[in-house]
Amino acid sequence: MPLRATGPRVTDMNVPAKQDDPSSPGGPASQAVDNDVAVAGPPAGRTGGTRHRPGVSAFARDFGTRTAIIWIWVAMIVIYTLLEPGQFFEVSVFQTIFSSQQATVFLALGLLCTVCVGEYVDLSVASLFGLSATIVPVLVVFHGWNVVLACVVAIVATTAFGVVNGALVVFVGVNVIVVTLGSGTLMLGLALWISHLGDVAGMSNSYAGFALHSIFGLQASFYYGVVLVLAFAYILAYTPLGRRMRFVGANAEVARLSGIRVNRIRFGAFVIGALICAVGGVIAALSLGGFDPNSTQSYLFPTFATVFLGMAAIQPGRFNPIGTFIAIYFLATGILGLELLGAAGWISDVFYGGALVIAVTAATLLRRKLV
Amino acid sequence: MKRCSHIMNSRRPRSPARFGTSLAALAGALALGTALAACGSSSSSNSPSTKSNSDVSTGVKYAQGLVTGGLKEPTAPVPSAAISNMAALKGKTVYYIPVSADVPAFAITAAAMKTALATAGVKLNVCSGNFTPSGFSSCFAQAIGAHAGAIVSDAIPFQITQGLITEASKKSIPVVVTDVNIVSPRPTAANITYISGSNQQYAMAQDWIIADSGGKANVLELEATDSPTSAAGTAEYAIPALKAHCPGCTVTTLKFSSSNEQLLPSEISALLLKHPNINYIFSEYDQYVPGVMQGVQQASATSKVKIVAAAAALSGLQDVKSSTPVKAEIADNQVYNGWIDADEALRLMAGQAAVTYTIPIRLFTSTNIGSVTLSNAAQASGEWFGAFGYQQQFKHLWGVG
Repeated sequence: MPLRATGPRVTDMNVPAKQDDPSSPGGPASQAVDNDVAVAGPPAGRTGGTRHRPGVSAFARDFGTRTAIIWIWVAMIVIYTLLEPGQFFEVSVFQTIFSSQQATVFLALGLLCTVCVGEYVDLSVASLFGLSATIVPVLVVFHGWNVVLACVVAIVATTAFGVVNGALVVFVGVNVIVVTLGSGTLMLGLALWISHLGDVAGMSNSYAGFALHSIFGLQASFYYGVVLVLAFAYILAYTPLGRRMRFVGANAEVARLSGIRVNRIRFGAFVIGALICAVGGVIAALSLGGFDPNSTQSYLFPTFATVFLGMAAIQPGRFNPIGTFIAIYFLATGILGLELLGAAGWISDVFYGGALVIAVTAATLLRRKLV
Repeated sequence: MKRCSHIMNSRRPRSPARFGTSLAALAGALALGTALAACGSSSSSNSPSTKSNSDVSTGVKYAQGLVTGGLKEPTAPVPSAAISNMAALKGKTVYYIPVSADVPAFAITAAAMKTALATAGVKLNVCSGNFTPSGFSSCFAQAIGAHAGAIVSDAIPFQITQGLITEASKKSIPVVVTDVNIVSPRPTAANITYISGSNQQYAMAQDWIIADSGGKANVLELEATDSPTSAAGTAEYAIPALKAHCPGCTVTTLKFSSSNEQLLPSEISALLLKHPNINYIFSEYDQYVPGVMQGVQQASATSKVKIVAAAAALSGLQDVKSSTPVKAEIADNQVYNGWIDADEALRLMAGQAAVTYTIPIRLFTSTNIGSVTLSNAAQASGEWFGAFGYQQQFKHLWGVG
């Protein structure tokens, strides 16, 4: 992350009405985004407008800010280890932590797709996940379909809802909350309908190996999440598509004036977000041998919690996949530690909710300090 | 992505130190959560009692006998007293108010009750309680306002609806309160009756655990605290049954509420890490099995933990057949439940005394799972429990068949 203090922000730029290649290196879009990213370090106003290299202390502060949640995570592990000697700091505990969050990783990354282009409240992600996870066992168990074909149909059908969501929000202009709340409820109803209102199980246990087989002591589903996060982070940081997404998320109108096809980017985010949720649902169904659509909505809060808590890590104040990934396992560690301490269920709710509110408050306060 | 926060930007510089301070608050909150953890313990563990080998052997033999019987098709007992004056009941409407009509078991019961009542010329109206007190109240008010022939309240805690039950009773509307743990105080009157849930299925699950483990099981018992009835299922029926017949077993209890069901997998995995000797998990409701399975998978304990659940539905039996960690399921006959609910409602509507019933249950394991058809149609018909002769016997009692 460059530590620059000067340069115009997106909202201050006199952007040309038309650009040939807004995503090319050095092009207006790239420049705008990069300038907007460059917010760390001493303010220009205090240095008479001259460029200054940040000092060691500024760098240390910045590093501390970006990694603060990781240090808290480490501190939390130390505290739990001291409170639960011989119980918490064990390989099996960390295997459990890192093998337990596949669903949340896929859901959070699915939500992040739309969040990054400025659509912050996609309330349908859990239902997308749940519909996909329900279709697979329904087709395999109730209708005797081939499991691969069932997975493909589940992904296609679920992604189609992402297409509808995107079309209604982007091209028709319906409020995103209304569209995603409505479609999410619709999908939940459909999932309950095709599952006869309840849990569908009975898929062969052999399919579970796709998600559960051990690789270096961790379940394969963990690595699927790692690959997804790294790919997402790479695309966002180093590709023209990623720059366009960031630009649209920062200011859709300026992006449009720069020549970026804003609607196409926003629409694509809904579709890809739905695709990621659908794949996550398929993996969950295979690992469990079925799915209970009644549990769908329970995935929603953790998804939003981790995405927003992710703003507190790596790129403070900004939604980012690496930060989200860290937040997921940060929360998983905290909750498992509390449960090992014998905490009742309400303690976990206090932890989850409290951590989210405080982290988002911290991120909001930071936003006010930006630039 | 990075731009998401900059729409509302200001011109003031970033302050890492302040952000760090804010995150310190987060750390403080985490520490507070840790401290609070000491306030509530969700699990308790009991060591095995020091009993002789003969006590263990006796308990295992006792359990094996019950398990052997439980695997067979159960009988469906029918009361002996006939109902008179049935002609006067024709055209009336019974209101069936399940805690939620979205639960498959209640849908099956409702369908069976509708069929049963129709043979007597009585209509059925289903009103879902939607899991909320306001939903229960609304349904009761609807039934009372419509001068229902009778009200059947299913799995709704009467502690919540006792005022409504009393009001209906005073307006000469009989009330059948079913699927509850019958305790006092409770509303009483000649036209109010209670049918207990099939609590013997919780004991049957423990019998299977004792028999399967040879009297040496370390059991995690899930206790759903959503209602007095759900809590009683584990606390008053399952655990006492295990302790009574298995002196070599240990019990760890996990109390949880369906309101934080999303945390069930992590709670299960935490307990499996904390008590690595746990080798059986009992869930009083089949619907929690997916969460339990997830927790077992997260703790990499699928090869050492066996899951047994009561209140089984189709999915639970499919789990048993699919060689998952779910090794045993106990189901009660929901179709029979519909017929006895109808029978009891008709008796009260006819001004006769209520009777008692024994709800048929059946244990399903790998031993007998191959003998039943696993489909929604089979579940809805009640064929998992054997012959349907009881339906004709009920009709005979009602003078309609």
